[in-house]
Amino acid sequence: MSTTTPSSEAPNLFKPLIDVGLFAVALGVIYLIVGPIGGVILFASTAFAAEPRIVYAIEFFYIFLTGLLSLLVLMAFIFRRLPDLRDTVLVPTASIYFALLGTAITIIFIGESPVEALNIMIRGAFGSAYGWGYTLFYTTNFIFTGLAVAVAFHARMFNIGGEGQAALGGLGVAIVALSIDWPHWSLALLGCTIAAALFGAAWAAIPAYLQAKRGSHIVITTIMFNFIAAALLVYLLVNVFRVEGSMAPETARFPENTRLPNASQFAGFLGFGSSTPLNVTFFVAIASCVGVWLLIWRTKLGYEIRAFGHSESAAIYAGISPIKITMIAMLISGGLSGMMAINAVQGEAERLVIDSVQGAGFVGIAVALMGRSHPVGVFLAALLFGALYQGGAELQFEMPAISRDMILVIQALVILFTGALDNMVRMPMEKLFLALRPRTE
Amino acid sequence: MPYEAWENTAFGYHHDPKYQSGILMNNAAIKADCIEKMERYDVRPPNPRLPARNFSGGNQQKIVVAREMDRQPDLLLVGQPTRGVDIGAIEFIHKQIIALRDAGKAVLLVSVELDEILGLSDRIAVMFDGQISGERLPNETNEADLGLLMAGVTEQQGAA
Repeated sequence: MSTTTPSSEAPNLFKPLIDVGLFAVALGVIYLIVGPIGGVILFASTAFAAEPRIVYAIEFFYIFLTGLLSLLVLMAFIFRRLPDLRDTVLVPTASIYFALLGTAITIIFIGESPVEALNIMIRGAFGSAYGWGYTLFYTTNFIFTGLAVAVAFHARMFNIGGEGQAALGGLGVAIVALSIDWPHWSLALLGCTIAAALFGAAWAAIPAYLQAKRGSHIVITTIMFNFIAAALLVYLLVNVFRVEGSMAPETARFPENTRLPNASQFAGFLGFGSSTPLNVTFFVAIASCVGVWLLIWRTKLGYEIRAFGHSESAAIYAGISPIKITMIAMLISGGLSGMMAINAVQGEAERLVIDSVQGAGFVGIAVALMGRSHPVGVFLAALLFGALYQGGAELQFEMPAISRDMILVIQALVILFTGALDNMVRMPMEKLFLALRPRTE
Repeated sequence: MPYEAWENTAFGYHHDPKYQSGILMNNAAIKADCIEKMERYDVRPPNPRLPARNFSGGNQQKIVVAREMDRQPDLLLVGQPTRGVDIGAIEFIHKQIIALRDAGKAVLLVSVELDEILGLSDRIAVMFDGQISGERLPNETNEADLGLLMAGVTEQQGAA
């Protein structure tokens, strides 16, 4: 047995750098080889221009090949250098790759070029400051909802109610922003954050209580609460908050002093325009990542939440109250979902509109699954989904045959491969690792 | 449990002030404690980062015994403390139980190993069918006698 010594003693700071450098070189070599081949293939495929399906099939094969080679390099690299990362990095990457292939096939069946579609999506998401602004704005939303689902996951609970909790968070933001005369945006941000978290947590508290005390399954109750939240918001927006004389079911615009600085104000030198939705909430989201990491891995409460999630009977043995942990984990989860509203409601819309959440609560589930409930993973997965949302939006402008629902297809494929078919990717990979393990003796 | 061995060391005692630093948990202290206990109880492999469920049954047992017996409890209730543990470690665990007894703590040992019972106990109560079928002092009894009690043959029946 090859004994892996604990690496915590003296981590060599240069080793990771060398590793990453080697990896980059290896990838570079791969693309130097693949690039010209791809070029030749693509050029040759123009000979079949009369029959686009053949061109698309060749393109698909090209994506397949490039992705597979990159994946193999990543695998070899992780296998040689950082075996600890294979579960956290390799399996999600492979899942994305398979989801990508599935997407490419779907696009071919729609009758468009997969390479071109991918190009548009990547350029749309990362090609300009405008694209980055939207990508990071969506990312901020997904970080909050992703963290929310992740915290509940650690206590082995499936919080499907992010959608409703975020909607209620928006209600909290609207009430606080409209009813109090804030002297400065930073104070307003603080106040709205607290209100959003409190309202989101309160909306999660009822399902949590029903789960803890009555055993009502949290998945069912949180889903039902999404519908209740939607109905409640429609009622409030139409009957209570609607501006006198206006037909739109939305609140008045928030006062000047509650408006958060957007990226053009604090990072204008990067080229963000004044209309960019990206705002300071992005930093609140990053702080939340750090906070969740500290909470889960560095506090007694996190220890208890994880213990409860691993084994309820063991947790009871250790003197951990299941009721208390269920309640607290769900309150934190709901609070994080609610905080999404400071980005979407206070930061971007600056008023409460109908359906301010726009599905981010559900994307949070995919983000948490893909990020393996770790804040770093959640951040990266949120970035991926942010890019998919923004890239997908561009895609429907440029390719009328492809609707915005394509994002949902991609999202579904990612969930399918990271969640449901996790073992389908993981098992062969583990077998491969075992077969290739270094023979040190 | 997928908890790693060092996390398991603090299980149930994670409120202990010695494992805290401010509002955070002092993971370094727990790890140091775990390494120290692994050495004393001869847990193999002595790797605190290994998930507890990946140790062999006997070594899991040692981690648990180390965690519970090192707390100097006033009452120790142990069931089969040496099941699956290797001989050297059995010896060590037995010594720890005796040491706790000598320190004036109450120990209730439950075991199916008659040798273990006869060797460690000050007083033996045999259970049959949910009731105590007899009490013996270890130097006044033997395995055959205990075996009869275990089969439910009580003193009255024996006399009749």
